[in-house]
Amino acid sequence: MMMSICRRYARDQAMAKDILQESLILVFRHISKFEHKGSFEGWLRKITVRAALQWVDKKWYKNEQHLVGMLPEQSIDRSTYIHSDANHIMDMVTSLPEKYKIVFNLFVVDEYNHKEISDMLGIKETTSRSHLLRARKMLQEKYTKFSSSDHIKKKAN
Amino acid sequence: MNRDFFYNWHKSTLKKHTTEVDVDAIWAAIEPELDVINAKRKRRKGFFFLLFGFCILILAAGYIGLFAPNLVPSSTSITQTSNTNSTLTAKEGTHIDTQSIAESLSAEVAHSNIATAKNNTSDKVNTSTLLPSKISSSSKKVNDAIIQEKIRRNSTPNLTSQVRVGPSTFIRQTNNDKSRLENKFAQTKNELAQTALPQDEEAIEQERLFAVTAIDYSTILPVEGMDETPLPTAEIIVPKPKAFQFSLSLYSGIGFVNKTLSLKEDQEGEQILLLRNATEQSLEVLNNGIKLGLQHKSGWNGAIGFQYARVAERFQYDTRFLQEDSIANQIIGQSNNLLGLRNNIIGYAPNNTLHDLEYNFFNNYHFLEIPISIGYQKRISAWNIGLSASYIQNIALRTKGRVLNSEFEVINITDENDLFKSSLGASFEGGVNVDYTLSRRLAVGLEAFYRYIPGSVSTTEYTLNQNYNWVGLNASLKYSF
Repeated sequence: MMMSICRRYARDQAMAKDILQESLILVFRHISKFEHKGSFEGWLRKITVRAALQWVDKKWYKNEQHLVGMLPEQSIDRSTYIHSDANHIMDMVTSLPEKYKIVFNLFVVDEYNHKEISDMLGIKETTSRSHLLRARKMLQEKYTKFSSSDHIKKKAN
Repeated sequence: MNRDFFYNWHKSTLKKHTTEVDVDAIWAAIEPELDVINAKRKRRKGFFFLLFGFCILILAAGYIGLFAPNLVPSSTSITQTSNTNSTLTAKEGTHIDTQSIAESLSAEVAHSNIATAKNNTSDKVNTSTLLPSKISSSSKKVNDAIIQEKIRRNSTPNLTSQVRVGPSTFIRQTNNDKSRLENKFAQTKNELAQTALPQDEEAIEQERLFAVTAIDYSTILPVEGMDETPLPTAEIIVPKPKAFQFSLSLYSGIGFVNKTLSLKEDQEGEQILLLRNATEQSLEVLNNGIKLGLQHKSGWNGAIGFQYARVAERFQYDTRFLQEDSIANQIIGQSNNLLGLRNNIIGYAPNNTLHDLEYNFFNNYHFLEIPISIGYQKRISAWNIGLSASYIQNIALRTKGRVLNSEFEVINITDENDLFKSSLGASFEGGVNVDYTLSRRLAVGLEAFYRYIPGSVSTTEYTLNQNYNWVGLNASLKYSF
């Protein structure tokens, strides 16, 4: 579980391993402070996400131009991605640009809202929303390209 | 709807995603780091106990000094020896040797006996005078020599991580690996729990909030089947600190005093200035008090309290005095009568004795005061580091001991005397302090301070100004509520 989280936020496998090590050290350092109020897994997730974010240079967020213009919604057939396996989805997500990937992971998988994401990353809420939209659009484009390939078509058949 | 499905599908898929990890390699990588963490905790624990012990020691010393002031030898100590034969004063031109009278008496006893003898024999012999101001010329010469020697001896004022391994190799995770990791996890958790320091809950909470995000995952776990339910919004738990917080501090400390004696304007008294500088030595000051504080969340704070301070000094003075006495019914001469026979003349023979007198006192100056302070503290983890400035209003000054007055007499300054003020007025203090948070409500602290008292403790009646300032170290125990 922890490695999967690390993998989602890391650029590559080596970085994911570094994040995992850092997460485990944080866990051991702060384990006496775990108050048994929530689930231990949830606590591990929080620490792992935090450790992953510490590995990301957040400075570029501050200078990010806000994407004011909303991108048009693109209709996509569910069959273009529901046939992908988890590893493929993971590859798709990790191939996103880092700023979009982080916001996408935080919002979609780790279930933070935009206010929390903006606090964690030091960006505005509108920036968080636009990054999410960008990430979604990019993923949709990736899936569209992938679905047009023979491999997926064969797999769908 | 399409968007929600897109997100939920990604969430459920990615949350179910597993990656194989080489547990042994990961453990080998983090194990040295864990040793460092444990070593740091042990060092911190040792330092904490050292600091705590030191604070308790100072507090104990201060309060022992407060409630048992006589543990410091502050009582009278006069030793008197008579070591010379008397000087004879012949009456009517006759000379008779007399034996010396050597007595070992306390000064008060000697004074009272002598005074009695003086009263009894006032009509028969020369009046004896034992006060240093009326010492005979020979003894004054001795005095001067002693004083000069003391001045020479006392001419100096008494002021006194990250552990990295190579590229990881990920292999298939087996059930054994998983169970081994869980066992190691549980074992390390137990070890950490045994070596964990007692910490302030607030500090723990703040560190926890810093170390991890402020998201309560208990509301969104377990993660299985999340794609069937609407996405819950994680809640940020950010405890809002109180804008103001009261605290009650007990403090105690010790300091080193710098006493300054100076001549008042238009006053003559260089000799008494030299004598007092030579005979009085400043020792320590003990400080005890209680303060009620109000701290703002920004770090600014104020406090008012009540404190007692005691300045201790040593008074040492060696002198000599001539005891003039006479013995009745002694042969003081002979005369020839009309028949040519010699007759003895019976009368009072002088019997004078030179006594060495050594005064050795511990003088005390007791201050009762109301301190009013403002300060600023910066919180760094469990530590608070700050600066403070205080205005201190003295409400009572009491003195105890002996000093020389302008007539070179050793006078008792205990209770009523007109040399020292009954209250001192304003004084000022500045300090640097550091607190260590033991728990959410309890903290121990140390404060290094400098105290300046602009006013003289002596009255306008006295020739000299007597000023104090001191540096010290206070230990405190603070309870917040």
